[in-house]
Amino acid sequence: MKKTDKKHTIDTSKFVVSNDLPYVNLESPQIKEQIEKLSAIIKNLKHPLPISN
Amino acid sequence: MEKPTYNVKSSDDGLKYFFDSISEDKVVKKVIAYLPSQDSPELYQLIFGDLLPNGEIDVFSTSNNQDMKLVITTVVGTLSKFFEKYPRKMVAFTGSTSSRTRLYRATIAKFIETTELYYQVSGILDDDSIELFNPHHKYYAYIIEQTHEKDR
Repeated sequence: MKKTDKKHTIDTSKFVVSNDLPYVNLESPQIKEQIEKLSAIIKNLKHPLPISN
Repeated sequence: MEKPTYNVKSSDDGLKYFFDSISEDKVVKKVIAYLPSQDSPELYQLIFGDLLPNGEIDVFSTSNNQDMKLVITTVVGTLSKFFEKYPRKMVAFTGSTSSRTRLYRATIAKFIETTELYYQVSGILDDDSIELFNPHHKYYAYIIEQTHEKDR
């Protein structure tokens, strides 16, 4: 896409808030591992968060 | 032009999103969750994967459902909804594998080039420093913040 072209936007009209949601287990070993992996990265950062301030 | 997404159901708090990835061969249930980080009150971690029948999320799954573009647009759409609720927070994510993290780099580069996103994307380098996203650099995690452009 050329820089002069108009950029796309994302149509979120198909998003609905619902009380009828599937059960999701956010404490499974895979999720814990993923959280710990990212947490270790954040802890090791040379710069404190937030970045933009 | 607006990019379409799948039909998405979300929780009222804007932290969980569900949709079906649909092809002629199969339907794969997908989930995106934004989890508050223990490391910073400003930070949420993005978790994305297949929703298994027992409620667990498989972050390593490769669905090969021939709809990657639509899936990724839907995931990016959840960021938009997340930031509507939490405009001052940041979202961190990394791939479940190094190849997936590389895929995210290519995807982010493409989105920044073609889509009005209103986000600032930063990449975390191997030396644990952060910089504004550069499509030519290798990162192992990403942090996204909403810019204020959307308020205009």
